Amino acid sequence: MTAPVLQVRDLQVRFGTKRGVANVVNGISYDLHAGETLAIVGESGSGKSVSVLALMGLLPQPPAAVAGSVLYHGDELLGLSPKEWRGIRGRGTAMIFQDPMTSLNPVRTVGYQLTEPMALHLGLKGDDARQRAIELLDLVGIPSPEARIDDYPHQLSGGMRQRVMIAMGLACDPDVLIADEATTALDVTTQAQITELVDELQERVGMAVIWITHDLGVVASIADRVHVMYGGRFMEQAGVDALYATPRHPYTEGLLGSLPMPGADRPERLVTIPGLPPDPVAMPAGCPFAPRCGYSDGDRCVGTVPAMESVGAGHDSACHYPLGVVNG
Amino acid sequence: MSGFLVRRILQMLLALLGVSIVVFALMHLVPGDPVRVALGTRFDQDLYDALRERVGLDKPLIQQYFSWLGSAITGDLGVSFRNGQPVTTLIMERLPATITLALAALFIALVVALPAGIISAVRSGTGLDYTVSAASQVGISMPDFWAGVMYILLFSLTLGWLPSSGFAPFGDGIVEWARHLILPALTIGLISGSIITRFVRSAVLEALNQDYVLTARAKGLSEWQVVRRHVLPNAWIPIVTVVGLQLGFLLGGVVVTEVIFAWPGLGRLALTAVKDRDFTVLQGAVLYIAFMFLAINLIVDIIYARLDPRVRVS
Ligand SMILES: Nc1ncnc2c1ncn2[C@@H]1O[C@H](COP(=O)(O)OP(=O)(O)O)[C@@H](O)[C@H]1O
Ligand SMILES: [Mg+2]
Repeated sequence: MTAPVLQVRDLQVRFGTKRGVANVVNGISYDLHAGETLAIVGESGSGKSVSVLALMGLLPQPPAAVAGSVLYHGDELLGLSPKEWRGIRGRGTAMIFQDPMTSLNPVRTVGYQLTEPMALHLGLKGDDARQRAIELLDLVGIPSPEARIDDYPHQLSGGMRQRVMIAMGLACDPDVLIADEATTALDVTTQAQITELVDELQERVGMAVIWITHDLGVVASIADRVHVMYGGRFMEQAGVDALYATPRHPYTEGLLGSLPMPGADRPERLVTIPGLPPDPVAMPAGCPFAPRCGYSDGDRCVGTVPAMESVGAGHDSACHYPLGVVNG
Repeated sequence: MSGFLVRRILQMLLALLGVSIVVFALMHLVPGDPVRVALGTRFDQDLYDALRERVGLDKPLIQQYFSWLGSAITGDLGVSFRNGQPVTTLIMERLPATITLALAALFIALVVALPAGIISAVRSGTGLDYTVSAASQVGISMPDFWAGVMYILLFSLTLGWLPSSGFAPFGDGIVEWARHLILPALTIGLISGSIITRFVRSAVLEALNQDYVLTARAKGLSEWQVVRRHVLPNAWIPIVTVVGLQLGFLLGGVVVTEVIFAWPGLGRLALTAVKDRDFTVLQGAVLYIAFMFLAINLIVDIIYARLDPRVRVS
């Protein structure tokens, strides 16, 4: 395999808050290769957004403190100057956000917002930029892009706006596209269309995608590898098929158990795991999931953080008692 | 856009009509007989009756209102009870000083408020932000009569740099004009500026917290580019409202400041009219102020539509 585009090692993010230090991301590591789609899945509040904002240098420090290492094509990103960060953002790594209704500036046209990164990173201006913007709108499946380019966001539907956001992300041919809950705010049909679009674009453009969601159901169709996140740590990581077929972590099992049956309505929240995610200001000393885990031994689980260990080919679980694995 | 304009102008005319009714009613219902006041100690029943008939006060109220309204539409607001001069002339005479002071004060207010408000929002939570907040708090709580007197004490009486009262028309030369203008404009401008600063700060802060700001940062824009291209164009929308309101107040005449600096503005005209029960003048002044407010409102709405594409379409 070629060298990864992005190598994340022991990434940690803390926030100074009034109540004390919030340990939001507590040492996550992964590699991201060109053309690969990596999914990060977990309940709301598990630190997914914060972990990728750190990759973009978008966490104001303070109150945030980011530690560990993020190598982009082998170069360390953490510790870059604000100016150096600006060279990466939108150029090397681009990001699309959850709510297309609020993520676009209401008083700027689609064209203005779309050509902005081109001028910034590619020196593309005027008609050239406009031409490329029209091509991008066409690429993301917006009908009559020549007309839509002068529209304001409120003239477009939610699905169309998210397509604009994706076009904006692709504007400078980034190596990495981060989609943070990019389909969560959309209806089910539009959700499927957007997922499909990203999948298709990725094949054409060859970029790597980090797909963040709290919905394991969305992941199945597009991810290559899945990292299950909880309490700012990865609980389990595997190829998407192995994860669905043989979950090795009680938390993953819980998430899968909460998936709706085919044909059922999509639940608003994952409700079948009883209890609440941990408070980052008062993280448990042991496994973050132990307080909600039906398999907890009340001793080692509560006292020691389990290490991420291999439970199969390309399949790791951070559990003292990985499911389906004897001894432990 | 033109349909929007026509609709707004019709609304404005309707509002003016409402104001005229209220003004007229109030003037005629408040106690105090203007004719009696005008005659003063030399009261004479025949003269009194003749005067009442001449200004139409002997007619039924409804009839009085319509004849007043009819003339008002043609720009004739009647004559002063006090000195018999046309009210329109009296108001027109006061306009140059009023408008000069209003615009100068607004200029000072904006020069202070825009940078201060924007910087304190962008650097919110820093020492700079606290300093600006404290200063604007002082500005808001400072009474105009006190501030005006302090400026006179310092700049006129102690330092002798500026005159302490009066208005010099532009025709007398720009230097004299400016020297007379500075202190009253500063008095009212800094107070107005303090109020606007707070609104600017909160409008910019509000816009800074929107999701599209994160989108803009994620593109690789610098913080000032984000503020200039994405935050301010959204923040202007609420700021324009407040600036319009402030301008409305200033154009209506600032009584206290005008009295302190012997400024021949509308505020003093209205004050004198109240003292003299010169109700045609007062009616005219109130009608003018209402008209100013509504006109500024209309302008604000037009600017709104230019700033916010969502308003433009609907
Ligand atoms: N600026 C911040 N200051 C303090 N805590 C924060 C901040 N941003 C996020 N958090 C906390 O970090 C945790 C994870 O947030 P987030 O990454 O948004 O979760 P997810 O995206 O997985 O839903 C939450 O508990 C949230 O309260
Ligand atoms: Mg999130």
